[in-house]
Amino acid sequence: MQVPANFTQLLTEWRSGHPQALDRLTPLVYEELRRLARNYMRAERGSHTLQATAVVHEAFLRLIQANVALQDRGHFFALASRLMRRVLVDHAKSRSRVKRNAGVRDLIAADMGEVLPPIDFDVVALDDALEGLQQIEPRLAQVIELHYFGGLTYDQIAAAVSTSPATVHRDIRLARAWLLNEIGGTRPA
Amino acid sequence: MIPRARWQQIQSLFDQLIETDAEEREVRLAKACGNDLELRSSVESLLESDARREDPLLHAIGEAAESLLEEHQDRLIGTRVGPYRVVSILGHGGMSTVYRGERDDAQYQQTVAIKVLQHAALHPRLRSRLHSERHILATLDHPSIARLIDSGDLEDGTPYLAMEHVDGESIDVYCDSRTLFVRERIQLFIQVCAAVQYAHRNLVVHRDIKPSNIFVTDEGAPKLLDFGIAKLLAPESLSHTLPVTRLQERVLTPENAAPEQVLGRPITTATDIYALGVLLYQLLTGRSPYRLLSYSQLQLERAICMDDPVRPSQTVVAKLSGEKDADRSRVSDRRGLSPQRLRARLSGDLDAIVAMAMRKEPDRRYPSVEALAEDLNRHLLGQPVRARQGDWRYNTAKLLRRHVLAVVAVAAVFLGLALFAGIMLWENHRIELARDATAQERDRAQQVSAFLVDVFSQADPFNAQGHESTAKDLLDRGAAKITGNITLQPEVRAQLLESIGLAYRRQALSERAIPLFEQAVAIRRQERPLDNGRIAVALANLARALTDAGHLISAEAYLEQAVSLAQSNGEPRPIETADILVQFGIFALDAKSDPARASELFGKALNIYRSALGNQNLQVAAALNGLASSAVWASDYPLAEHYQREALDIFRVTVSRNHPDNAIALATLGAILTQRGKYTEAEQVLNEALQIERNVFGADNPRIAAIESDLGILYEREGDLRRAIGATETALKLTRDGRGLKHYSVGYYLDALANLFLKANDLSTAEIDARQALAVYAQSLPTRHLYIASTHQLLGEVLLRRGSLPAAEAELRTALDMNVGLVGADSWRSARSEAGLGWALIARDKAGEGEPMLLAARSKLMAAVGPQHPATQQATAWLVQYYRAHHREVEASRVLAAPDKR
Repeated sequence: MQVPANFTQLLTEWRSGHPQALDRLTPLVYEELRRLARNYMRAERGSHTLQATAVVHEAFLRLIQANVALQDRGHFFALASRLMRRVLVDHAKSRSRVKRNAGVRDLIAADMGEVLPPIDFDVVALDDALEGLQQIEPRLAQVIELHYFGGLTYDQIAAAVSTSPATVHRDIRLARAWLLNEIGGTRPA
Repeated sequence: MIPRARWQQIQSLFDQLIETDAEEREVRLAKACGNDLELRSSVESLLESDARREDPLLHAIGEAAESLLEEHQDRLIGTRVGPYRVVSILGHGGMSTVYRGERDDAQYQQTVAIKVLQHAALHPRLRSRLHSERHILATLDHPSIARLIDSGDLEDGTPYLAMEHVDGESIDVYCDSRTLFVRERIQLFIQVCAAVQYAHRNLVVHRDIKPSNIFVTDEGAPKLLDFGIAKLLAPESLSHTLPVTRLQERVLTPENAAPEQVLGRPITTATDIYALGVLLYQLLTGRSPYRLLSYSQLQLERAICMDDPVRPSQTVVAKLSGEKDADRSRVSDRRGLSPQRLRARLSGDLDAIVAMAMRKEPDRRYPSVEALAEDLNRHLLGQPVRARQGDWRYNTAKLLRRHVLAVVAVAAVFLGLALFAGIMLWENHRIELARDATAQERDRAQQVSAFLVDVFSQADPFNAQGHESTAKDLLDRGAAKITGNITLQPEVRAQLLESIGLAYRRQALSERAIPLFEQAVAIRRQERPLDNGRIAVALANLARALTDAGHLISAEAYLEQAVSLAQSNGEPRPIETADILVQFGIFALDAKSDPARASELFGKALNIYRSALGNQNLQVAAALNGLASSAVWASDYPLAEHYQREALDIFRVTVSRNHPDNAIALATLGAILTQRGKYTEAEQVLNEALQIERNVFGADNPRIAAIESDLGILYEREGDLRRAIGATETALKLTRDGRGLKHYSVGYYLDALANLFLKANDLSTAEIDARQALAVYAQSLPTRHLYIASTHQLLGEVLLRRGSLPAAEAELRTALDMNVGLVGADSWRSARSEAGLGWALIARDKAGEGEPMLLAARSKLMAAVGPQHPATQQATAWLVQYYRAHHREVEASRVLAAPDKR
């Protein structure tokens, strides 16, 4: 796919406080997501969500293939992953759907050998918790965005934010544990 | 809002503690937090969340994405598609959405599944192709295939297919929800095969066989959905119209994809056979053959093309880290069996059938779906299945090679006999020349020839009907003929008995060899009571077979007789003496665990061989092998590697790569390299050995157990406990099946498993296996033996971890006493026992006795094996833990900082 020439520009505008840029960015992301989704085969029963996540990550990778100067890439990636988060969260907020796949997740969890009772929450709760983490330690919120919303590997994140993969790994573990505690505490499973 | 400084405290502690084990974590947490209970509970709850295996974050994001991706697909509901009213969504994926459609007009009522192909409308040339394909699909008419009823285009030109709507559950859910037994699952699967076979006869390949594409109605009838649809959607259909990149082509979840699909190679009926193999795997085990928690597609694709899946029988007992027994038994419960029973049920035939269907190379799978179904029927009827037979009609190069090797192996035995006959004839001839022949002497050669002709005439290995055990059959026939045969001359009988016995022993059929060697000894004694050398060799042969079969005590008695006979021999026969020395050396290692004695015996033999036979000789190599093994036992791995490479150099120039002795030598080298930390070469060498042994002896020969176990040790060293346990369990099963439950090596592999379970923190399994190992040893080994000492040590360590302190102390004392008696008080083995005992005493509040013991043991370990050895590190950890617990920080840090150089 061709990354629209103004994608980078729009991202920058959005972060500089022009909310209307988001209105123009969102369709770009939607389009990319759908286009990718169409090219995947019919999903396996029970693993829809993982596949959908994979589609998100694939789309992210394609969006960030923009022509950005090396020294700006870290910043650009951060913006793009924030955008991906925004798109997903806004979509979730705009709909209060009955969960179609309730129950499937338990099957997966059972197969994987669940140790503790599962924590279940949606992306809106995750978004709120991430805001909290942002206040405490912005670096942690950012690696979570890059890893979960952008699908970047530890190595890729390390390169983007100029640190070591080991540090990224530790940061993600801490951030993830913190988020789970935060969400689990306010919304018990 | 957490204050900045507080957060940094939390973060730093978390980072320090995530890689520590529970015990150390506890200690360090207590120390770092002191009275700050709030800090402690913050960090503890973070660590607890960190330990979760699931990832709710990923799941939350996935759900949001899923809902976003689906949104635009709902727009057809309530509209009309052709003659049908769209009622609801049945299911969907990226490329198509399936709706429930209802026809309700004057003509008739009907429910259909309408599949709308999302992207097809964009590509006019694909649409024309669709029309022709739809025509073919419409001709499929089989009770187990959901029919294509109708097709057409939506208003915007998007094509749709209307198919028979099947009310039911997908096949895996159906089987599990009704707790179908393995037999019932297979019967259902065979019905699926019939449908696929029907389609194949009509030249239609399904391409996407997987549980979610096979529904079972309430009446229990399977129905295949989406026949041939995958092809309509396949990327290559588009390739002439669109520049399609590799990235876009990728199948999103190729769990059931065949290697040729992953690699983009031609799709044939063999692709469906592979997918049926995967389906059978899933129905039998409840798991996917390439079960990855990671969703990295690359990893999965690599595994599909490169790795052998875990065998069904293994996968049902495998326990992944973090799994509980309950997780494992959930699968077997659904099949009405315990995990172990399910494993036994799948082991053998079903493992082989699944493996054959899932071969990487399409032309090595079952030649047809029918053949797969037939083999399953044979299994259900208790008849031998073709997947386990060597000369399968549509055989593969590998199996063919294996068969040929079996024939060659047995031919070598008989070649030996033929040579013997030849010598006899030649001697006979010479004797005749000397005009000193007796009728008796002339007879000998003729008798051997006649015997050989007799055995071979009944067993033309190239005519064998569906067997791979040609070698064993020939030997059985030979043994039966020779045992009761009194017409043969005694000398001839003895020679034939020994030849066949040797061949049996080499095939790991030592129990069958023993009576033959016993008869040979009796004949030798009777016929030539004064030929001590001959009798000694016969005794040594018998002793070796007894050793291999695990009868160590009688073996030792015969060996002692043999050595004293060989040494009392007036007319020295150096080679035979050296042969006996080698046998005794092997015995000194295996049975007596006395590496010093063994090394001396092998050294003597080596000198004799070298001076009598030169250097490039198999017997020289055997003696070098023995020296290497002795060095391994003495933990001198550099020396062992040196000897072993020397031995391999000899094999390289004297025998073919496939020679069994070469395989054993390779395996030994692999084990040595593992000990030396050269993992890459070790794995390569071990796999080569494994391949040779499998080719020559077949995959279930107990000889292979040793190599599997070596691989287990290697995997463990590399940190892959799951694979390590798998390999060791294979070794155990091979040994139990092939050598019986009481063979001492059963104990050895149980000990190895116990050790792995200890490492995996499955303490109850570790304890059970260790105790079982001791029970086996009690029936098979002398009362004092390094194996036994090792297992007592291990059991002691397990009990320490379980907190059964008095019992642990008792086990460790036994281990210490035995080790001191066998290898001396300064050996690292003794020191390791002493360290454990010291720690047990400390834990029992007897620090006054325990602390000096632990300290001294650690110094001995430092001196004997250095600070990096696991035993030293364990002792160090205990010591530090003890000091810290008593707030003797300075001593603790001294122990940690400056390794004792004594």
